[in-house]
Amino acid sequence: MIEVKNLSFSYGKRKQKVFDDFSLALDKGSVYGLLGKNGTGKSTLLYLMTGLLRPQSGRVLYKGMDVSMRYPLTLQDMFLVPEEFALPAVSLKQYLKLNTPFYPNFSRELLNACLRDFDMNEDIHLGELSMGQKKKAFMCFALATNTSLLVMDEPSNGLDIPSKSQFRKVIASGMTDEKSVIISTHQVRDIDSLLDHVVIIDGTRVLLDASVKTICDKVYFAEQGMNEPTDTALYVQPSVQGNSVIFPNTHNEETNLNLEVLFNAMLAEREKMQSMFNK
Amino acid sequence: MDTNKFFSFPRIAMVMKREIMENWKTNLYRLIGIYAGFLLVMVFTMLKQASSYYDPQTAFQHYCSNVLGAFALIIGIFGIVYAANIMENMITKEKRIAFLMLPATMIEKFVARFLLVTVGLAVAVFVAASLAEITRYLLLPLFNVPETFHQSVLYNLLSMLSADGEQAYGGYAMNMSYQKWLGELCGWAFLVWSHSLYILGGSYWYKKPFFKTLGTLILISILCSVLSVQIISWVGDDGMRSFAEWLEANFQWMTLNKLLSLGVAFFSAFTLFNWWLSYRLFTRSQVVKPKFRLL
Repeated sequence: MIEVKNLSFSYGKRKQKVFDDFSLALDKGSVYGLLGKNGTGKSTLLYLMTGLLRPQSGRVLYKGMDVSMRYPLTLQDMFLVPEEFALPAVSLKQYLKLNTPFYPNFSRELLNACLRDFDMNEDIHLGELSMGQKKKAFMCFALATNTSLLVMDEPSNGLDIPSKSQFRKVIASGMTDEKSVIISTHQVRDIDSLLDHVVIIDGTRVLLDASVKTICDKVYFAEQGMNEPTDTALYVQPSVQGNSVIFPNTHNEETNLNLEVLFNAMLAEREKMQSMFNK
Repeated sequence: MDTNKFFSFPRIAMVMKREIMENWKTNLYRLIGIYAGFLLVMVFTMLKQASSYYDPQTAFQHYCSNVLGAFALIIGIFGIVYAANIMENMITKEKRIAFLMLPATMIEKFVARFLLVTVGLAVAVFVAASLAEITRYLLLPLFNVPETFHQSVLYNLLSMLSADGEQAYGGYAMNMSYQKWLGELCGWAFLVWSHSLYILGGSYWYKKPFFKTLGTLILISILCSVLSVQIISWVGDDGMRSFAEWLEANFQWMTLNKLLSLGVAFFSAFTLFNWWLSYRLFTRSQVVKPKFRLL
């Protein structure tokens, strides 16, 4: 669906490159989690994927079209929910009237279902909402555009606790085999149950690009006491109960993805973990 | 035509509608600004002219002439302020994301913004002038003005412009005769070129584009003046005299009409260049670092 080919990018000729010969391919029908440390270029990658930034070399192709050309056919099939966004001071109905004609697959049903999930309705004025409410309204609009690609940068920032679980629900209910969602966030606990695929980037490299199924097939996440053995562990991280541990999943046991531990393990034990997934 | 890559009129209309409605407050404030300017000119000039020693009809004609001049000044100022704000919807990162992600081609977005700051201004001027005229009528009973001032000012202004346009006689300047329409065309070409400079400034600077463009133009004018003075002093009186003689000897064929035609061609060409460059800057715009566009 979206292909990043040999991408090089820096914010100025003399600045250090954010991406250098970077490649990545994302398929349809999955929810992708894009993770990385601060300043590793997650938001930059999202902007490059949506044509908001132009690479110095390389290309980003969406369904075969170069996104930097910003063609309407591309733009009407992808939607970006940035971390901070601008909403005009108009009623939601007015906003819909002005913006829905740009999105041919816009679904009023999806919008109303999403608004209901967030305890909102169409009779709201965007200029009178709090930041969190604005985010919910904007995310509902984004989902209702029914685009094949939905890109979200820190979507759970600013949402209250009940809204975070509602957020997971609306994303999951809006998914089809033809759609893809890319979520970039540091709030890994808000999304780990939602993801189908994990991409971890660090500087100019992709540290991990694997489906959640593959990850859970290869490694086993465990919480264990302080005195339990960790000799065979790939990674050990102290936790409140004792240790959060990643073992090789040699017995094909069922395990739940612990995104936070996985992320820390990929950074701390890069080679060991990568060799595990490259097997 | 491939509307995915180039042009769709319905989409331009959609972009314009969105821009007008989502920024209705800004548009309303600007309309009120133009209206207030027109009304103040209409009322204060009326009070001044009504108490003058001219006979009522002459006083009204003087009044209309003064209002016409003041209106031209107001429209000129708002014209360049509007032009400089062509990309005001790109001023913040959030606004840039919203506008650049809008499913329309770059030419459609640019044309929509261009029409808003040109045709949009014309509509705002028409509405503001009509409202100012109505308000002046409503305020008339408060002032002791002659009966002649109960005529429509706007109708008289349009009549004056129309009469001026029909006067196709030739003019005379620099010891040469010229066709008046060509002189006016050259004047308009110069005005449109000046306007295009603010369009260009507005496409380059997103923050405080009017003052930055004005400042740059003033700076360039000062530099050109200093440079001209330096060149003239370097060439000297004899050199300038020789230059004038050389011009006279080699440019016998040059008439004022030809000079005006060249002026029209020159300003038109640079207007087109400024518009193209503005569009080019817009197509190069990205979500961050506006200066990055030139790389």
